[in-house]
Amino acid sequence: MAIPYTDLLSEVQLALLEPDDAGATWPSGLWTATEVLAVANQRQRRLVRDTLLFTSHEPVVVPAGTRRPSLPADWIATVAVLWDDGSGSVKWLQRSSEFEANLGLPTWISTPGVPQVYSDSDPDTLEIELMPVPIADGTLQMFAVEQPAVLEDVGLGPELLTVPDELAPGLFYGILEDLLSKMGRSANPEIAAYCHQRWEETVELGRLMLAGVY
Amino acid sequence: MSYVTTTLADLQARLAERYDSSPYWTADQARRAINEALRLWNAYTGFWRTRVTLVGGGVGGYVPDDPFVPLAGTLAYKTTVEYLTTPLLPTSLMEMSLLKPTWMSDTCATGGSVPTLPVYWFPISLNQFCTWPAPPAGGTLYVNGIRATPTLVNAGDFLNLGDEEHDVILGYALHRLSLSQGATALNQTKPLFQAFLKAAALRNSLIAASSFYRRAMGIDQTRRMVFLRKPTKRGEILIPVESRVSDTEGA
Repeated sequence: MAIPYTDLLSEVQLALLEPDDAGATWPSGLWTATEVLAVANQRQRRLVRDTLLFTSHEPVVVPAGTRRPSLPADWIATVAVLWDDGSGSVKWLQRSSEFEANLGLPTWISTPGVPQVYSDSDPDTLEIELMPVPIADGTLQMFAVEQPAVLEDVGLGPELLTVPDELAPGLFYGILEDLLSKMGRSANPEIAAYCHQRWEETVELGRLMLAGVY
Repeated sequence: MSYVTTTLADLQARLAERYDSSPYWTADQARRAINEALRLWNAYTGFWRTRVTLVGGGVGGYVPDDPFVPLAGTLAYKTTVEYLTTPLLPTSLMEMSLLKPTWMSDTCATGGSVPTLPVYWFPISLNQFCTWPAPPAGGTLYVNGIRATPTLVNAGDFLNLGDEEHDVILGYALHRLSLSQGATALNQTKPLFQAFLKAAALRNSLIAASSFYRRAMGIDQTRRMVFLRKPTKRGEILIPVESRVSDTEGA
């Protein structure tokens, strides 16, 4: 993880036959520096989310009776959730839904208990739902993907990419796919399709990485 | 010990020889393309490996009695973990949580059925893993894994890779450089990309079994062989099952 984001933008400029100035200007007028940087940030977040390579552990305190505790503001995706009742033992919570809980635990709302399952698709954004509602105080041991650092110039120089160097080519192709899929003069469906294929290859490669089996 | 036979300048010259005219790329562009090829090679094959030492309580080491062990960025990803001279068994967060619910609080001093030395390890993230029980003070963890790809910067930097692999590396670099020349050039150099993938698949069977490899090589024929929708027959005409409602209404 030692590639500055400006190197990545340089690669994009060279591929699009723009003068290489680390992404500062785009004289063709087909794209703007702000636009390209936004695309780069979006693609990095997407890559981090899809590969789950950077999972962090964060405890979330949950008072008794809290049906939908809040998630951290920089949450992207939930990997795993453990319920910690403070006794030294944790309980694996299975991902589920309100539909399943209504069928399998019909009294999950009215009768509090020890959470068995959770849902992060039914509640509002940045909330997680516990079924049944916790009967006692506890802690959610959250394993979740957080937002990566924003790609921008920081005090000591350009921000480094969060993703490993080995996946940086995938980011490059992802950015190209977005730029060449733009409606108008910059549209190049054939190369955009190729870039999409390379992006998907990177996501699959990232998922294999964490398995660590070689 | 590293290979010290081929420099970046050698590779750039050999790459230029693969184009039947004055190259349309600069030396820096060639360098970037070669580095991209090397990074992908490492990602696919795990070629460049290393061993990281984490001392309990030491700088850059692990925190004693804490099951979460951080890793520095020099290790791209890990394959095996050892505590002193004993290899730890790999498992997963889910397995550990279901079978050992006290894993987050267990240490080597817990006693009872908890071992006195770490026995299992499981990955949490690319830069973090856990052990059970938590490693004690005064110990050492060894992590074997794939290290970050060496980057060629200066003309005299040596490529730490055997000559027998250079051909596919340069082939990929040429394919990468053709991206700026449009779709026709990209398609013309696609066999070079396929050769690169095939060479990587020879080293890593996981790649050969992956769906992106099969798609890139054009050998993913499964979708064509399996009829995705179960047809229903009316007369001589095969009608997809989605039309069944209209069939009933018309009966």
